[in-house]
Formats: sequence, C-alpha cells, structure tokens
Amino acid sequence: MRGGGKLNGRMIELEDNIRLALNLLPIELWNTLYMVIVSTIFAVIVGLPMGIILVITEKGHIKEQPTINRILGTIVNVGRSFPFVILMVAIIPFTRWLVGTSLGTTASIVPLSIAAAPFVARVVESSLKEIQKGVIEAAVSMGSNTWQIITKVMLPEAMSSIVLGITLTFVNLIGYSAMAGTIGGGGLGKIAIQYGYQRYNTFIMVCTIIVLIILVQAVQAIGNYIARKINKN
Amino acid sequence: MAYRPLSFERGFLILKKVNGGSRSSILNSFALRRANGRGDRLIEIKGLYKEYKSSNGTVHALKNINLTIEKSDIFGIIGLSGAGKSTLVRCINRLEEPTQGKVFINGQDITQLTGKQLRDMRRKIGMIFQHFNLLSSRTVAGNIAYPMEISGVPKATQEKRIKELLELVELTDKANAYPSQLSGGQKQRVGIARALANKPDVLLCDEATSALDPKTTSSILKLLKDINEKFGLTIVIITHEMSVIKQICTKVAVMENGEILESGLVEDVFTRPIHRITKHFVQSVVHDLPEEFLSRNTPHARLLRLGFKGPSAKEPILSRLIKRYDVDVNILLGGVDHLHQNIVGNLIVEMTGENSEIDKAIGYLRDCGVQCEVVES
Repeated sequence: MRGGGKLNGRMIELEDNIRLALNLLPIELWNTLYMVIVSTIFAVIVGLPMGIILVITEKGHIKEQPTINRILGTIVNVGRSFPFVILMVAIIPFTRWLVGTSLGTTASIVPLSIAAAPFVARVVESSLKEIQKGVIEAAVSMGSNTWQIITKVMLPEAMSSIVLGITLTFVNLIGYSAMAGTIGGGGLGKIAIQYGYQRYNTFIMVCTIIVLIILVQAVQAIGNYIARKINKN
Repeated sequence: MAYRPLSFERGFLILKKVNGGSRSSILNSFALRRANGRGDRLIEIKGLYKEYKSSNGTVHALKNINLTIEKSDIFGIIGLSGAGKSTLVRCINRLEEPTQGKVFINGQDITQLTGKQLRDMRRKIGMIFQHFNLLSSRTVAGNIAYPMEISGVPKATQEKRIKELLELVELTDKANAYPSQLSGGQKQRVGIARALANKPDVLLCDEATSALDPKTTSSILKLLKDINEKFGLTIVIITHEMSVIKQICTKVAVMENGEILESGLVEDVFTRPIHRITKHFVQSVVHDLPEEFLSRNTPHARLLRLGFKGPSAKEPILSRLIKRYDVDVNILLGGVDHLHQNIVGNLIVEMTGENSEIDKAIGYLRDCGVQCEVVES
C-alpha cells in the first residue's frame, strides 16, 4: 500500500500544480501580451519615422542629408548596443519618473519600447532599401513630393516586408519581456523565474515554455499570413 | 495625300507626307512659323555639361551638348552603353542635375526651377523606363491613377482618363491585375499609359524596349508611333538598338563619350554616316559581311560596299554595268530597307576583272548616284 500512497501523493501534487498553472498562466499570458503589444506599438511609433529618415537622408536618396543620417545612425547603434538586462537596470530612474514605479507590467513597457525602437528603425530601413531605386526615381520623375513618395510609394511597396519585420520585433520582445520578469516585471517570465527557477517547480516551468512556444508560433503565423496577403509580387 | 513641313534644316524645307490638309494651309503655317522666328522648338539644350566627381578623378559624362527637339518629333538618341545618352535624357527632367548649361522646355529654362515649380514641370514630362518601374502594390488602374492623384486630379476625372488610356494601350481587361501578373510588353504599356496620364508635352523613353523581345519591342514602338501621330506628342527615345531608330524615329543624334557626333534626319545621318560609330550602327541593321570575306581583296577582285538611296535604288544599275564594262559582279550580301519613308539599298559585291575596268565601273556607279566604298580588310 506504500507504493499506492506515494502515487496518491504525486497525484495530489499534480492536481495542485495543474490548478496553480490554470490560475497563473492565463493572467500572466495576458500580462505578457499587454506588455509586448503596447511596447511594439510604441517602438513602431518611434522606430518607423527613424527608419524612414535613415533611408531618405542617405546619399543619392530623395532627401540627401549626410549629417542627419550619420547622427541618427549613431543614436540607433548606441541604442542597439545595450544588452537588454543592462538597459532595463540603467533606465530605472527614468522609468520611475515616467510611470511612478519601476516594478510590474506597465513599468516594463518603458525599457521594452526603448530597446525595440532602434531595432524597428533598422528593420524598417532594410525593408525600405529593398525597393528598387527605379520605382522611386519614376515617382520623382512624375513630380511627387517627398511626403507623397513616402506615403504612396515607399511604405506601400515595402509594407509586406515591414510587417515581417514587426513580427520579428514582436517575437524578440516576448523574449525580452521574460527578462523583465527577473527584475520585477510581470508576465510569463515572472512565473518562470518565481516557480520554475526559485521553487524548482518543473511542471510550471514546462507549462510556461509550452505556452511561450505556442504564442511565438501563433504570432509568426499571423505575421506571415498578413505579409502574404499584402504582397502582390 | 498632302505634305506638312517636317523641319527646316540647312536652308531646305523638308516635307512629310500626311493625310488630309491642303498644301496651301501648310505653307501658311510654315510662313507663320518663320514669322515667329523660332519654329516649334519644344526642347532646346544649350552648352550642357555633366561631371561626376569620383575617387579616381572627374568623369565627364556630357560635354557641350547642343540639341533642339521640335514639337511632334520622334527624336532618337543612339549610342553604346556609357555614351552618356541616359544622363542626357535625365537632364531634361532634372533626374540628373547638369553641371553647366541650360535646358529650355517651351522657352522656359528648367535648370533654374526649384521645389514646386520643378515638380509642376515634371508633371508635364512623361517618362518610361527599361525596367518599367511600376508600383507592385498597385493594380494597373492604380498605377495609371498615381500621377493624377499626386497632382490633385478629381476622382471622377481620373476614372474617365484611366478608361481612355487603358483603351489606348489595349489593356482594358487588365485594369485590376497587378504588375506581377503581366508580361514585359504589357508592363511597358502600363508604363506608357501612366506617363500619358497628365497629358505631357513630351515623352522620354529611357531604353524602354531594351528589356523586351524583338516582337514585343516592335509592338511597343508601333504604339508609340500611333500616339505620336494621333496626339502630335513629342517623343525622345534613348536606345542602343539601331532597329528602334529605324522603325520610328524622324531624327537622330549619335552619341559617343558624352558628345553628340552627328545629328539630323534619320535618312540623312544613316545614308551618309561620317563617324565610325555611326557606320557601325548602320551596319547593324543592314547586316554585315562575315569576317572571312574581308581577306579576299586581290589584284583582280575588289570588295565594294554600294549604297543606293532614293531613285537609284529602283534602277537596274548593276545589270547595265555588267553589259557596259568587262567585269563580273558577285553579290555577297544585300538588302533594301525602308528608313523612315525612304528606300535605302545596301549591297556588298565582289567585282572581278582588269584593274582599269574595275576603276571605270566604279566611276560609272558614282555617276549614277550610288555611294561606292572599297571594303578594306
């Protein structure tokens, strides 16, 4: 009967764990999504214009401005040199000033957005550079102004590639958001740290990983689908 | 059948056959032009230079270009790659900034324009490209709408114009197709429709047929010619293919190393080519002799290139020559071509016989108005 008791004990532990997972995972999945979606939006708001400026101020492009191009390029590179964990710690005072606290889900959005914006800028830059020079030249020859070339030619022509780039950013931010969990951010990262790492709860750890895998797969699939819909090539 | 003045060059009035219209009205219009003193000069390029600074020094892409293009001309600019012809045409709508010199369009110096004035000027110059440069994210109709959208044409007018243009380029059934679903020739037709959307004064064609196969090239050129005849649209064509010039151009300029070597009416330039490069282009359409024939010049045989133009192309000159002189004539290569409404014959023959007889025979040919040139090996 001792063997049966052991089994019984394990069953109870498993039941507890399942209950715990069901309690924790949905809410923390939501927190992760909230952080990543809002951060992606901020990153695009800042990064998209930066990417556009990086392209059009380049030598031989429609608004050649070598100085602006070099300054902006340097800013983006500096932003991208910070390992995320260091960036997160370094800007704690700024985060506290902006949000009122450096802990929790909303506070994590600040470092996540700052880390992702230069990334988005480079992603947008490389997407816009894929457009054939001739297409932009044709638009210039027809008498388009700069705004028309950006909004009616460059962005629509590169949209499919930009969508894939934003999907890439989104998936990267899921990874970063888990790191935010280590210093008091919310989301799936927090559970993995608190239950999986600090309390040796393998079950919760595995569940968290499975949820993350499904999340990344789903996001990538949606991104690919939208990009394919937009692409007319 | 009537005539209309094609151009006024070297003191001669050149008349072109046209349907309808009376001769007197043409003379009147000619008198008017002379009274205006300027003819219908649409584009005038004066002392144009273009230099590129590179790490290996300065590249002179254009050197002192002077060129006049009149209204309703189909003006061909031919040259090998790197001759500067593309740079030249890009200076007309300022896709390239000239280093020095002036470009007048309708009497306005466009090198002085900036900002909005420059954009407005560009809206009146259509351009088509070797690689079509269509917007892949827009349908055929959307591509044609683009130039009208950016110049603020009302939606209803746009739609009417798109319909007209699609009919003109025979793509009505492809209005909602995307460029990736079209063939090269169809893409260039969309390019042409798009270039015509804002009713331009001139259409610039930058190697517009170089990416197309010969049959498609021919149909695109025919379309351009139709548009020229229907609307009197001035067309400037950049090409490296003599066949393009031959098929539709009225005038031609030959370029090499950033300079215009010779220019004028197509039939003049190509029946009396002066420069080596021009001769090369002429030979490319009248075909040339295989290399091994060139070594056959012997004391009693000479290779001759004979050029017939106009009336001499229709006379049995060679047949008379053989009866009159003691020579044999062996035709190696030849053909009769239409060079813009003129008949041009080109023959390469081997003449055998005594030297003195051959000399007399050559003299006879020259008397008959045949251009005669000994082909050197």
